[in-house]
Amino acid sequence: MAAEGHDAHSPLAQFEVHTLVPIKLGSVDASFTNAALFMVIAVAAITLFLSLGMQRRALVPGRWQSLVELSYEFIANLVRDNVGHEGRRFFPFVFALFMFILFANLIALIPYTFTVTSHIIVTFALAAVVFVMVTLVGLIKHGLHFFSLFLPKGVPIALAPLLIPIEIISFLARPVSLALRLFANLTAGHTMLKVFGGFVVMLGLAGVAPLLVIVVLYGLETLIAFLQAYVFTILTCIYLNDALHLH
Amino acid sequence: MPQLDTATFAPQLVWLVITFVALYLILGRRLLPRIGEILESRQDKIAHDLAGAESAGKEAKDAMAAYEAGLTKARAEAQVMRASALETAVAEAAAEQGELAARLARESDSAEATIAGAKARALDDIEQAAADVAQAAVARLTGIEIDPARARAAVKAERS
Repeated sequence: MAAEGHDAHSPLAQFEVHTLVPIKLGSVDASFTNAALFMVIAVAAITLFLSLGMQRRALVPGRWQSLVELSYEFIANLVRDNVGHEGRRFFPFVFALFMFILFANLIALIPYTFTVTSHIIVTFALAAVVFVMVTLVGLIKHGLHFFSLFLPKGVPIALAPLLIPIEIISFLARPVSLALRLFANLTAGHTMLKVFGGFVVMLGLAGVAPLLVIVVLYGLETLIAFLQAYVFTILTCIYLNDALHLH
Repeated sequence: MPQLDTATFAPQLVWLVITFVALYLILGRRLLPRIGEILESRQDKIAHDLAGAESAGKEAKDAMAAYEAGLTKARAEAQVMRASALETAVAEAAAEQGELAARLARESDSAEATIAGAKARALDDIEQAAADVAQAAVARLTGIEIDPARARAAVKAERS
């Protein structure tokens, strides 16, 4: 499916989607691609990480179990602090979202892997799920009153014609910014790593310099892998809070 | 840019839905309740242990208070006992002293009486002797026999 036909050395070649097993569901192309493979790997890794870490069910946790409990409590606290008690229902979703993005990001840091979250369609789909869910939650909980979100309390009514369009635009921009932020960060980071990797090969012995840059960049990318997963998750929590409690 | 190749959108979306829904179900149905259960049971155990420690601490405090009370009571009793013992001892000593003083006074009185008697007798003897000497001397010198009673009276008058 590499329609644009990048050669293997292009920094963007790593983002190409290849069909591994062609599948057709009616007229829909549901082929199992390398992207799908790494989504499955991410889910499998999360499942293994959590279930193996919790296998011993120790009262005093070991290192692995501590890690599992840490991630659980991290997201639980995030949801509790940002959404409040009503957020408990959304905890599994938020946790799944965080883990999926985090593991996709981290697995992508292994050389020769595919970066699931570097595809705008994937990040946009995730953002759209969040957007639709938040809107539905708000509408179900508050009915039409939900639209008071577009007019913050205490604002002079004269400002309404100006403010309401701004608020509507900012509301609609949420999924776009959510999707673009993750996509752009991951794409840029991995492209940069690939570019500097190319320099190392090209420069021979002098390639030590770009190699050092890669080491630093790799650390930065690891940070970004966590940070972007965190940002996506905390913004989801904030939007949920808006929908549940309005302003 | 391979990301903008719309032909890849459909298979990615299909598999994203499959994998994400699978992950959501695995997490929501199986793994998260299990982790939550373990965390909760630990929380319960900690709370239970803390309560146990608290009651044990309270017991220790009670025992300490009882001990303190016993100690205070014993101390007060000892104080009373000491005071009464002191009182009896003081009273006994006073009685003994009084008795001793009385005996001493009695003894010294009788001794004084004896001394006074002895003194009087001695003085009497001396007077008698002086009268005798005076009588004998007068008789030898003048040849007059003086009545012993007169001689005695003269000695007495001389002495006083």
